[in-house]
Amino acid sequence: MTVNEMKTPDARTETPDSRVDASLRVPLLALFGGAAFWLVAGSVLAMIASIKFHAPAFLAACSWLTYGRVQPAADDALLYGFCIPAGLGVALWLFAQLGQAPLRGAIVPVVAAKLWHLGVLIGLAGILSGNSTGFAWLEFPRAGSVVLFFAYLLLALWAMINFAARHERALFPSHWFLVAALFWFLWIYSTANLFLVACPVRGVVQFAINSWFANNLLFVWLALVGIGAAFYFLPKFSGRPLQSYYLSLFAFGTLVLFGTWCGIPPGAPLPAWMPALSSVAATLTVVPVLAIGVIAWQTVCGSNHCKLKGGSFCFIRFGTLSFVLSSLMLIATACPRISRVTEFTWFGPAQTQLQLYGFFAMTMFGAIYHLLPRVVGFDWPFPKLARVHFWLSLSGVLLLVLPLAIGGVVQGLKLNHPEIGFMDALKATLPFLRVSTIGLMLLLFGNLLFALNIFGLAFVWEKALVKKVFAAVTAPLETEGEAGSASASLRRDKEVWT
Amino acid sequence: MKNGALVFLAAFVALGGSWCGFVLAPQLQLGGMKQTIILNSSEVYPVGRPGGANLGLQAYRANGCAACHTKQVRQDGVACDLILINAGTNRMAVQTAALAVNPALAGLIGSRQTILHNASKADVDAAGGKISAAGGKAEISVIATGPDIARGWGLRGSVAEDFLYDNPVQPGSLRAGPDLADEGTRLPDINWQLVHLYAPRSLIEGSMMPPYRYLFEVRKIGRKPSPEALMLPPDLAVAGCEIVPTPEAKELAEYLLSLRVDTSLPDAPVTPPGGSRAAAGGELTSSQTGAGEDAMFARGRAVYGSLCGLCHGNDGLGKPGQVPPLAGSEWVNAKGVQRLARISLAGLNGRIQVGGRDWNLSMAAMGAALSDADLADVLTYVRQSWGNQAGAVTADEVLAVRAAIGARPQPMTGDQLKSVSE
Repeated sequence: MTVNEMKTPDARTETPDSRVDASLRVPLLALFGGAAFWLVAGSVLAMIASIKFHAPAFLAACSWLTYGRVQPAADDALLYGFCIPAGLGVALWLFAQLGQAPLRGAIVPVVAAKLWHLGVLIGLAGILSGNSTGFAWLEFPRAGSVVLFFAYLLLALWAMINFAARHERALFPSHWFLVAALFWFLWIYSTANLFLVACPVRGVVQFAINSWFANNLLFVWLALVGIGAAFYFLPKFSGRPLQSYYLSLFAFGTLVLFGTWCGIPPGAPLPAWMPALSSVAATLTVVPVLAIGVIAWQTVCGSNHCKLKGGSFCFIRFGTLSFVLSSLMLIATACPRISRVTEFTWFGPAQTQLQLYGFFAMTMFGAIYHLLPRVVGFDWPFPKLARVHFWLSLSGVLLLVLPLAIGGVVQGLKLNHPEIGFMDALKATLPFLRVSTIGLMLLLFGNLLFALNIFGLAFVWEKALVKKVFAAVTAPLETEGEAGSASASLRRDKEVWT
Repeated sequence: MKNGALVFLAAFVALGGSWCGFVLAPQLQLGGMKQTIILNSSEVYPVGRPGGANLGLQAYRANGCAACHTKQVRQDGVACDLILINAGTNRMAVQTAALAVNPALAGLIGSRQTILHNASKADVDAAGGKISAAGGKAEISVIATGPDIARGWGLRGSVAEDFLYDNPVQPGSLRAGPDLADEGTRLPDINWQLVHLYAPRSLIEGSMMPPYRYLFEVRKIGRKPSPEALMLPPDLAVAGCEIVPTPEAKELAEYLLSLRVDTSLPDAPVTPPGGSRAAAGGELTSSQTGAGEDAMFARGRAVYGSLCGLCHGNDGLGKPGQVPPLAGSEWVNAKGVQRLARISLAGLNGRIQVGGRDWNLSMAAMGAALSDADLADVLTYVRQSWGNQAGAVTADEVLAVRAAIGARPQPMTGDQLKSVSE
């Protein structure tokens, strides 16, 4: 047996021990349920923002729904509302699966999940009421950020305690990615809030820290969690070991080494060494991105059984492909010559949406579609809608990202010719923006189907739980054996809770 | 994996490295940043924004203006001109030197002649050295280049100093609307800004900016119409009502007017058009070339626009009920400048009569923000604009008043002023 085979999760690691899955039931429903809600809310906000490019006066009389508030709220709802809790839920599940140990003290992650979603609610209300901090990707006002930070701290601590107590001591590639991500968010989020919001530094130092934070959250954190999950699911679905263990170690190392230094735009009004260093780092980031692409390609290709056609596997393959593409877009914009055209245009939002939605959200959808039925113990109520969700998301991402990217390049080329009036350059982007509204609409429909499935599953589970409790309460006259089994299963559920 | 701890330790170091690089190092390098002296002047940059504009920055943040507007001018490079100021005593030598620098020069050279055009900084420096060796005196004029600058979005690229007093710093990352770094120079009329906020399409055809109606109140016109009501085109006017900007709207507009990128700094030298402000360049530059009333007047207008005009208006009419007019004011048009200089140096507090009306106001002292020369220029501008026809003011006169009132004067009152002879 080679190292590769030993260190890769295979059928044996997905334990038949239902205790592991059952222990995660309530925390994951709490995390994913709220995440699904914010996903839909974010889509609705993004639609409102996008419609304003068809009719600027749409909902303009309401200060809560002005473009400058709705747009960041939509972005933050997707990132903080969906991506981060979904990533944390998947990380909890992966730790439990890979460590072969049931989650202990499940009440803590449940409380943390509720707290997190409360923080998102406070944050979004803060943005919409005009209390945004004004920093990109850190718009949530202080009250929301504090709640989010402690919710995350609680979840991360609990995940790490359970990681330390794992039964299966072997470390898998997913472990490095996820542990690094758990830790890194705390660092960047506290730094950004401390130096930008709580006791702000002066002048452009704010810009430097904001750029560093945004890059490390949007690129590095999402990559660590998303790729960490993909490195578990890709081998699992394709039935082949990860190709290879050492290459993934190399990809991990180079990603944290180079990726963390990207993000300072080449034209930034900062001392020249910062953008220059960032450009160099971005160029070197090609290495981990291509390495991850090669690993995924070699792991997936040659597998002859693609389980769940159109389901989880497709989501995760599309996600990994989007990761490579969005990262290459990011790297391209760090090159000064390309940045001259793409900076300040719609190309940037196109890249961000591909990263957030095409890569991360898609990977999380795939993971959740796979793991949640196992955890809850019921099948998806509408399995066909999951497949529809995939095709809606796929076409939605394409129709959102492609027009924005092309429109951005057109806009950039026109802006670089001062003889072309600004309004003409702006008008040239409008057809592209309007097509992207269709993409957002498809994404909204897809997200609704996802939420429908999640809430349906939660409902089925709750109904069964109520039935069980009802049976246990109203069955004292039944034969002892049956009542015993009912109360035993109730006791099991109780154990899960506490 | 036996070396799990080693992997995590290495990852920790790698992650922490970027924190040191892009959080710690910028703070060490720039955290203690101070104001810079504007090239060839005694002014410092940046000076804080006036109070209303500072509040306006928060309105800019709260309404997410940065979602569509950047405040960063990008600059490609510079193009320099070398202009002969004074041929000196040995015209022949200077003529030879100039021809050696630029053989295409035709005929005899005279003063104010451009010797080199659109050249690099190094070429111009070298050529200037030759001219001054021959006894001539030349001036370098620096023009920033790039599409943003060609669009009129600023005189030079944005630099770190421009953001020193902003909190939060919102440079923006998308231009769904124009760059606003130099909005105050481009569109200095506050009424234009307010109408544009209220109904963007009434001023810019096809604008995609949402109308910010919620920043305005629609009021029934009472017995006394509000002096602040917007002057709207007839199709937007509401019968029997007036549209009055809320304080937030006014502050936002004041903030927009305070945005400008037109100072020449050591790390971003540039020559303002018309040489109105001191020219940029090395030691060759003579300060205030082409002196005389024209240059002083233009310079005064620039200072007025960036400072005084925010309250007194670019038309010098002030704001009814709040800020007294400068046009036709007896204080401005007085024979001497003793009183006027005192008002601007020390500020003003309390009741004062201007143009036959009583005002109760509080005006900030400008003595710390403006040099004697600047103040002289701006007072000259004020005394000779909008129908005012008083005499020019010199820097010496300002200096004398400054010396008389001491280093940290209290704001003047109307009665105190009256006790000072004109």
